[in-house]
Amino acid sequence: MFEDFRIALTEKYDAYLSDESKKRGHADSICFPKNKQELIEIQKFLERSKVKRTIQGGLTGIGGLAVPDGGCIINLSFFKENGKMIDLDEGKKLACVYSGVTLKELKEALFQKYIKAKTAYFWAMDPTEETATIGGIIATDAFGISSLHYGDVSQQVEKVEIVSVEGEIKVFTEYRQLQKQLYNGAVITRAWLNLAPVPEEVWNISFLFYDDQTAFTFLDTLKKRIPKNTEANIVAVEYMNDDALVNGNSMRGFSDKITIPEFEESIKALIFVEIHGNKKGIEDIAETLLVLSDECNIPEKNTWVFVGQTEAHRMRNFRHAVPEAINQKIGETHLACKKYLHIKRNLEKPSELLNSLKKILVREKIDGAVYGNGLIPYVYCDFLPGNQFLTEEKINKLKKELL
Amino acid sequence: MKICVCIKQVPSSDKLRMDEKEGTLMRSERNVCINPSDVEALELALRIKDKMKASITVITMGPQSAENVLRYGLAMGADDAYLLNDNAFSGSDVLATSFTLAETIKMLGGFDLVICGKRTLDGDTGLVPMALAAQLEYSFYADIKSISLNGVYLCMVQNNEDEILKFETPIPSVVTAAEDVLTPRIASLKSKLMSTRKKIQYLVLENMKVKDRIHYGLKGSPTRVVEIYIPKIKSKERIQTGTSRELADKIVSFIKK
Repeated sequence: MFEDFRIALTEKYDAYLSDESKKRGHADSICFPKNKQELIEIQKFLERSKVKRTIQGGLTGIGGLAVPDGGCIINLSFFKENGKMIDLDEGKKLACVYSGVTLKELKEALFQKYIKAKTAYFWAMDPTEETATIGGIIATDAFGISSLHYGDVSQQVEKVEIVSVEGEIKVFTEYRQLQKQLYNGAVITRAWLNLAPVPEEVWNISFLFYDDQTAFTFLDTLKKRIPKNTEANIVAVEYMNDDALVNGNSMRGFSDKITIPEFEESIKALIFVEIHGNKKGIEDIAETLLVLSDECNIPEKNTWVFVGQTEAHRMRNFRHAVPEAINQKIGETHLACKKYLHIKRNLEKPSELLNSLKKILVREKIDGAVYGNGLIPYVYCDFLPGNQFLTEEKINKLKKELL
Repeated sequence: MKICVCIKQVPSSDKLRMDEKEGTLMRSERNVCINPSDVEALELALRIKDKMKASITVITMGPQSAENVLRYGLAMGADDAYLLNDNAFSGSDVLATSFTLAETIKMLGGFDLVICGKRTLDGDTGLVPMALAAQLEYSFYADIKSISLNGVYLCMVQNNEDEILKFETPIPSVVTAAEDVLTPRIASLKSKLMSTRKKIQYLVLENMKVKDRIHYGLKGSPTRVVEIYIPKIKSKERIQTGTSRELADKIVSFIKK
């Protein structure tokens, strides 16, 4: 019975009224289904009684999709089928995962599974926040740092099982069809994830710039002459502007995960390139990057190399700290919500978008942390607290200017 | 100055897992890295080299994959690298490890300064540096955060808990680098690529002056790990309330029981 799962939304459940967007909503009740049967009951009841529903995962999204607007919250953080989280299909290299499983839990399970195996496998989708649930990552069509090579959610997920609003179990292989169902209120229960072999080596090469223009030239040249070989691939190219760096730096002392050395104050931009493959292939790509860096007159001391998964994560952790720092500040200042732009344009010259964005920030006298994939480019611009004069209308106007 | 830095390949800190059946650390060649304290030892050596003419040699004992940690050292700025790679060295405890390292250092003609990390992430005995100093008959100092040279004397700055000690000691010496005060530099792209082309020299038992296997590896290790287990907590916590005086009395009477 639905009533067995329904909990009235008292103060105790206040945290479920907001997510990382810092928007705040309202709801009458919340439920935490633990398995499919409970979820079917809940969906049927909500549909019958025409109650609005909001589906929640790890509450890590910045788009506010998990913020309720009345009705009932269906929170899936306990949806792990009583601890039975992951099934592996060794032949097809698929991991069948319940939607409430977090990225961290999946990583740990795969690590344990393959610790002694000759070849290990991993799920390459990595939106940097490890507490994100698999269901949340799929539902929000998250774009992982290494999607540049491994593909987006639709390419990294084989099929998805849902419980529709009518309480029916359905399986989808087409992402567009799935999105329609999710839009109507369907809930992801399980997903079959395509696993990729763990690369023999991982290098993260970071380039520090004294000005944005050199960083943009570097990105344009990299896009034009992107080094390719059969033994290694560039999987990520992330850009961070000065406000992004300042915010990432502000997390030192709060997070023990920030272990990269401090930058000189005059550093205005950072680009990191992550390469997966074998030693020979990576070295070949790194040689080309060295040529590019010399052409852009980047001093040797402003090129950093992190080798291995653990080391490479030092820079990924810093990148993750950027939105985290901004979210924290927004939370501290009790502002209505985080304001940001998320822009994707596949351009021959990434500088076209990044330069326009920079000009807009200067023209409008707005402080914005710009970070994200610098090669497509596909970037976020998080407006810092103090720029709350920006209305949704104004933000949309700025976005149109950039598209 | 001739400096030697002893480094080790260890399981990544976020990947440390125990095999509960076997009672041993689960090791996988995929999830290893340089021991974090050893990076601080390297940084201490490099800071000396930044200020004066010095050569840095990195040495490690381990399988072929341990080449990676030596290349890490070379990329940071070390000049030479030696890998002690022989089955005869496998299973070494503190005594056998320090003996093997000491034999290598002697074979390489000795050093003015040997720098080690304070502890290893896997073994964590923290005893190898002292044992190494004893085997070499070098002086030993812990928690050193900076070193310079004054003639034949090493001028050291030691990071004690509440105080900083400055002193001079004649060369040669073994030291451990102070923890959490030496932010290690990151290798540049150029130096990393150059390090991949540098030759790593392999050393085996045959290269050592003392060739008797009884001193090396498992045979030279009197320590035996019988069992490793997570202690079971039998007692339950008890919360006591009262003034500080009353609480002190309660603790004393509890200890007396």
